[in-house]
Amino acid sequence: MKKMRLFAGTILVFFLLVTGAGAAGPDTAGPIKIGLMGNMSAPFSLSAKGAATMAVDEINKAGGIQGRPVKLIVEDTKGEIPKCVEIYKKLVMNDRVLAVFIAEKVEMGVAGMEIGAELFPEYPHVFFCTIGSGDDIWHRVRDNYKKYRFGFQTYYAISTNYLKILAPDNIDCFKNQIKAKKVAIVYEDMEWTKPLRKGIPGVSDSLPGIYRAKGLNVVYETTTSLDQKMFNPIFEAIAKSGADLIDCVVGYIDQPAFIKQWSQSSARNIPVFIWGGLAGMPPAWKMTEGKVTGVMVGSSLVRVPITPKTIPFMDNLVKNYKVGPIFGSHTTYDTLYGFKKAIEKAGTTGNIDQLIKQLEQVEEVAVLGSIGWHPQYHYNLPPPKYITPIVQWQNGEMKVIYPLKYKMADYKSPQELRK
Amino acid sequence: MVNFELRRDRIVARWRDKKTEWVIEPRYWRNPTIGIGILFLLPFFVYSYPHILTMITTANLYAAIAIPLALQMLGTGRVNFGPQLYLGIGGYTAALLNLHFGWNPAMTLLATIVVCAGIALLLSPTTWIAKGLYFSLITLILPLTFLDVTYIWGDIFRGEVGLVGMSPLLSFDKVTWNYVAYYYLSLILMLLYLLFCDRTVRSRIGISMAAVNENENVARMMGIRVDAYKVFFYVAPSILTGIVGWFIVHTFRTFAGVTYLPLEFMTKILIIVIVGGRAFLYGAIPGAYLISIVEDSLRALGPVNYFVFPLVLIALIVFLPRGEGLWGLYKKRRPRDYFPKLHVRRE
Repeated sequence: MKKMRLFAGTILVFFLLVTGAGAAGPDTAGPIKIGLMGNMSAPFSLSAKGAATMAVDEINKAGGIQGRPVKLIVEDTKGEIPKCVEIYKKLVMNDRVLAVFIAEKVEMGVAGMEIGAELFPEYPHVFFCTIGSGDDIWHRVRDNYKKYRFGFQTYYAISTNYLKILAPDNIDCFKNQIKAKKVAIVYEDMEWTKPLRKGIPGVSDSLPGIYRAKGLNVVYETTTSLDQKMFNPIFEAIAKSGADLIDCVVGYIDQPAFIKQWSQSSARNIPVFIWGGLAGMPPAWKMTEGKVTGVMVGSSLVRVPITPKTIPFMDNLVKNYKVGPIFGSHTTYDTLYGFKKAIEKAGTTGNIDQLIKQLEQVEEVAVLGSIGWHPQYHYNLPPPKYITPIVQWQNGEMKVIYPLKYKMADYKSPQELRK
Repeated sequence: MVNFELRRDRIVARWRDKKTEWVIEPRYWRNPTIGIGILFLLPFFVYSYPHILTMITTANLYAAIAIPLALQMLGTGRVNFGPQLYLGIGGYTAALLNLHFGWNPAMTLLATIVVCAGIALLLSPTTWIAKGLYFSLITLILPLTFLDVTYIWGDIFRGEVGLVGMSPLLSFDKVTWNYVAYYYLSLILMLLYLLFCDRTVRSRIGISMAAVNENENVARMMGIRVDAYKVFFYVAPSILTGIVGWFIVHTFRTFAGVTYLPLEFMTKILIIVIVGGRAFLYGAIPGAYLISIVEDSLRALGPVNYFVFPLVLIALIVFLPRGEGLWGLYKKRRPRDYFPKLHVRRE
C-alpha cells in the first residue's frame, strides 16, 4: 500500500511539473525581469554587471518602468558555451525574463543569439549583446530578420563603420593633429580586424586602401597573434621603414608589454595610436610604469563630459558599485536606458514586436552620446552619435586630443613628453 | 545447435567451440541497472527546468569524454593532458562540412570518424617515443597549437567567434522536447561508450591492456604486442572523443575552439577522471555528474565560487576513500573485483 502511495505521489508530482512547463508570452504585470550573463571572473563582465545594477537601481529609484519595478537576474557563464546555453534557457524559460543581456565576448553573444532564435517563437524576448564586437550579431539580423529580429548589438562600432566613419576620423587626426604622412599598421589576429585588413567586398576598401586614398602612405603592415609577448622585432622593422606614426589596430594583445617594448625600442620617438583596450584605462599608467607617456588611444574612460551622464556615471560606478568603468560598462548601462525608453514608447511589454519596433526607433541620452539601434540591422548608432574620444597620455593623465569639440590638450610628441 | 546451460550465477550458451555467458546473479547487474534506470527517469523530474536538462546533458558529454580518456590512460599507460584535441578536430570537421558542403549529420559523423582516426594514427607513434612526463607535455601542447591555428586560419575556423548555425540532429515543434531528446541522445552516447570500454576491458585485449598498464616491460617480455596495443588504445578513444565534438556541433549548433581547446576545459575533464577514481571507467559518470552539479550549485555564491570550487575539488580528491575517488566508495564493498587503474610513473 505504501509503495502504491509513493508511486501515485511520484506520478502526481511529475504531472504537476509537466503541466507547469508550458510556454507563455511576456509578463505584463509585476516586475520587469532582465537577465544579465557574463564571465564573472573577467573584469569586463564584472564592470558591466556593476553598471547594469547601477542602471536598475536608478530606474527603480525613479519609479521603475511604467510603474513596474525592474528586477535584474545576474548569472555567471564562466566563459563556457555549454554554460551560456544552459543559462540562457534558464533565464528565458524559467525566470521568464523580458530581455537577456550578454556582457561577454562575441562567441558567447553568437551562441546566445542562436539559442535565443530557437526559443523566441515560444518564449518571446529581446536579446542585447553589449560587449561582443565584430559583425556576427548584426549580420544575422541582416540576413534573416524574421528569425533574429529579437537581437540587438551595442558595442561601439561594426566593421563597416570602422572603415567608413572611424578611419576617416583617424586620418583627420593623423594628418592635422600629429602631422603624419607615413603610417605603419600593426593588427592583432582576431576576427574584428579581418575586414580592416582585407576590406569588405562591394562595401569598402581595406584600411590601408582608405589611408592611401586619403594621402597617407602605408609603409609597413604586420599582424600579431594574441599570445605574442615579444614585439621588439616589429618596432625595429617599423623604425627602419621610416614611418612617422604607428597605427595599432589592437584591443586584446598584451598592451603593457607592447608599450614597454615600444618605449625602449628604436621606434620610441614614433607616435603610437592604439584603437582600444587596456592602454585607454586609468591603470595603464601604473601597469606600464609610466612608459605609456605619449601613447594615443581610443578611450571611453576619460573624464570629459560628453553628455550630462558621463561624469556621474564614472563616479557613481566606482564609489557605490566598486568597479571601474571599463569597456562594456557604458554600453550595458546605456542599453538599459534605451530599453526603458522603448518600453515606455511601446506602452506595454505584452507585444514583443511592438517593443522591437520601438527599439528600432528609440534614441536616448547616453554616457557617450546617444543610444539607439539601426532600424534594419540592429547595431547601435555609430559616431558621432556614440563617441570614443582619442586621448593622449600626458604627465600621467589621459587628455582628449580628438574630436576637437571635446579637446582638452594639444597633441605632443612622445619625445617632448618624456623630457 | 546452441546449448544453453543454467548455472548458479550465469547462463552459458555454447555453439561448437564458442562460448558466451550472461551473468544473472543480481549483485552483478542490480546496481548498474538501478543507476541507468535513474538516469533514464531523470528528465521526468526536471522536465520543467530546461537549464537542468542542459546541465545533465553536458554532464553526459563530459562523461563521454572522460570514459574514453580513462581507457586511453589505462591502455597506453600514459596520462594524456590534451584529450580535447580530438574534440576540436571532430567538432570542426563536422561543423565545416555541414556549413560549407551541406553534409547532413550522418555524413559529418562518418567524416569525423575518418578524420579523427587518420590524425590519431599519425600521432599515435608518440605513445612509443614519449614516456611519462614527455608524453603528457606533447599532448598538452597539441590542443593549444590547434587553438592558435583556429586564429591564424581565421577565414576557415572563425577564430574567437567560432562556427555557428550548423544543422540540428533533431527538431521538434516544442523546444523542451528537443532538450529532452538531446538528453536521451547524450545518455545513449555515454552508455554506448561505457559498454564499448567495459567490453574492451573485460576482453582478451583488456587483459593485455592491464598487463601493459601494470608494467610495460614485463608485458613485452610475456609476448604482448605492446606497441600495437598502444596504437589501438590511442586511436580508438580519440575517435570516440571526436564523436563527442560532432555531437556538440549538432546539439548546441555553435562550436568555438576558444571554449573547448584551452587548459581550463582539459583540467575539468582530468578532474572528472580523478574524482571518479583514478581512471576507473565507471567512476567517470558519477564524477561528471558531481562536478557539473557542484559547479552549478556553487555559482549561486557569486564571485566566491571561483575559489570555493577548486577547494571542493581538492577536498573530494583527498578525502574520498583510499584516494580512489567516487569509485572508491563503491569499491569499498566489493574489494575483490579487479579493475585496472591509473599509475603515476616516473618513466
